[in-house]
Parts: sequence; C-alpha cells; structure tokens
Amino acid sequence: MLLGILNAQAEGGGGATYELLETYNATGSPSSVTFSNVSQDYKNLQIRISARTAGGGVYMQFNDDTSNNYVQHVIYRSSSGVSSGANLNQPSLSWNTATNSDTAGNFSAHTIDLADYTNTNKLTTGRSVYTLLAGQVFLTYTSHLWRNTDAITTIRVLAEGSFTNDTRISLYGIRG
Amino acid sequence: MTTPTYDLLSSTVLTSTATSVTISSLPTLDANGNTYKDLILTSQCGTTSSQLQYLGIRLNSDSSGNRLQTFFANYNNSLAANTFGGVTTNWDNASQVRNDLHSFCTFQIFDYTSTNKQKTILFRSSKADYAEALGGARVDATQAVNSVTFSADGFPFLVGSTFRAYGIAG
Repeated sequence: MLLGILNAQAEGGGGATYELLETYNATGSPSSVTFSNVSQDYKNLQIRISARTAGGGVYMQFNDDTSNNYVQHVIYRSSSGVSSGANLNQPSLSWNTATNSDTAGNFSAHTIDLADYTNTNKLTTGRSVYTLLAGQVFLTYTSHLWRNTDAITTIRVLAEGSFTNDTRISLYGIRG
Repeated sequence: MTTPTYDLLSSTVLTSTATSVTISSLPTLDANGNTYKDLILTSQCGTTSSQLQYLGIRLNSDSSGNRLQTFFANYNNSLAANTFGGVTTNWDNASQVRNDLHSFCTFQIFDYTSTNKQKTILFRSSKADYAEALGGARVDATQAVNSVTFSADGFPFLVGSTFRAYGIAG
C-alpha cells in the first residue's frame, strides 16, 4: 500500500503518490550535492536530510541562483528558550547541522517541502523542520521563499566545509 | 527511475484493550530491494485511566535512559518549552492520554536501518482540547530499529486506538 503525504510531519493523510527520485549518501567529504534535471512530473517536492558537516551548516540554492533571492522566517527552540527570527535577502536557504566535533553518530534530521515547484506563476514557497541534538540543541520550523517564478530544475545542497560520510540527502516527488 | 515509497508497514487497530502495542520485525528493504531509510509512526489513542498518562515509545525494547529530548508547545494556551535527558520512553504533555482524551502523535525516525547513526527523531503531539507540541529527540543507540513499542505508563490502551508504521526508501 502506498500513501503520499505532503506534510513533513506525516499527519496520516493520503492520496497523492510519494516517490523517491534520487538519493545521495556522502563519501569522500564532498562540499556539495546537486540534483539536476529535476523531474517536472510532480506538484511538490520533499527533501529529507540526515546531516553532519565539517562546519555545522547546510545551504540550498535553486537553478544555480546565487543572488540574494532567498528568505526564511523561523521559530525555534534552543538552549536559551523559544525564539523567532528572519533571514532576509540571502544567497541561499540555510540550516544548522551536526559537526565533526560532535559525538560520533550525531546527525541532524531535516525535512524540506517545496510547493508547486513547477508552477511559473508563483514565487517558490516552502517550509522545513529540523532538529539538532548534539553540541548544540535546536528544533526549528521555517517558512521559506525563493523570489523567482521559474520552475525548479536544479537543487544544489552545499555543506559548510564538507559533508561527513554517511550524510544522506534524499529527494522525493509528490504527485497532485 | 523513480521509486514509489511511503509504504504502510504495519497497522494496528485495537479490538480489545492492551497495555502495550509492539510493531516488530520492521523490514530494512522494500518489495523492490530498496533500503528503507526513515520510519514514520502515527498513533491515535486513549487509555483506560481517568488521569492523564504519558504516551511513550521504546525502540528495540531499550529501557535505558539514553534519550535527549527538546520541544516547544502550547499547553492550555500558554507557551511552554523544555529540554531534558535521561528519558526512557515518555514524550511531552501533549501526548498524554486518558479515557476521554485521545492524542494524535507522529514520530519520524531518521535512518532507522543505519547501524552507525544515533537515532534522531522529529515528533508532533496533538491533543485537540488542550495542547500542541513540536519536538525533536535523539536516542543514543546506533543499532538498527527493528521494533517499536507504544505504552502509556502501564495503563491499557482503549479499544479503537490505532498505531501505524510507514517506511520511506531513500
């Protein structure tokens, strides 16, 4: 039985088909991963990441756009309480990850949803959630915007430094 | 080539009360030989207790206090947050259940078949008339998860309670 669920929290609904498009398991400390020629056969995309990097961060860009067209608003739990914030007009989307200085086996967990990524009449919007329980503690919910109406055909995921082996990045398509 | 996934692995709807529900023999491969990476668990349950009881999940029957957990929540229309370690099975207040109050919870266990990663979990607990909580957890065990047990402080789950598991290949 196959169930597709847009919601990153997998709230038990169903209907659409959820398909694995591509997955990447890091070996050799790469600094970036690129999903090219992203299928245009779906309505929404979900990216699931289990990450650990040299510098403790991961970034995402679409269609090789490196200009300041990315916006995020966040609400997060950290060691200092619950806070909110915004990253306006940035050259990428960004999230924290576990780092190589954390205990072996610590990885952050991320789900990133991109809505209507093939639609050329809408700015590209999405949302994400991730948790990091390592040297730092974060639980973060994010909305994000790419100020561009182009269909997404390329997704580049960059590490701060490099990806540690066993970092896993999977791309899924959700039919609508 | 794409791979349909998000496969229903197990579905339990209680027809009699039970003090725990175990989903065992979780597979590592889907029908086409692809490795499952993430495990999604959902529960919608209540207990026979007249008092609120914590819902808990335990991985691989591991009863050690090896869990670190953080969350923020709306409890009775007030913001709450906490981070604590040494946890064995229990989750946040929004997961609590009793005989007239069910909770709806989801747990996403990342890379559950991995044997060299501690298990990182995203969870959400919803108790419609009282609370909503969003959280993350880390279980300090690198073994692949092959079973999950739901319990509620030893109080039986009510008839009709549901527990489901889905596998996502990656």
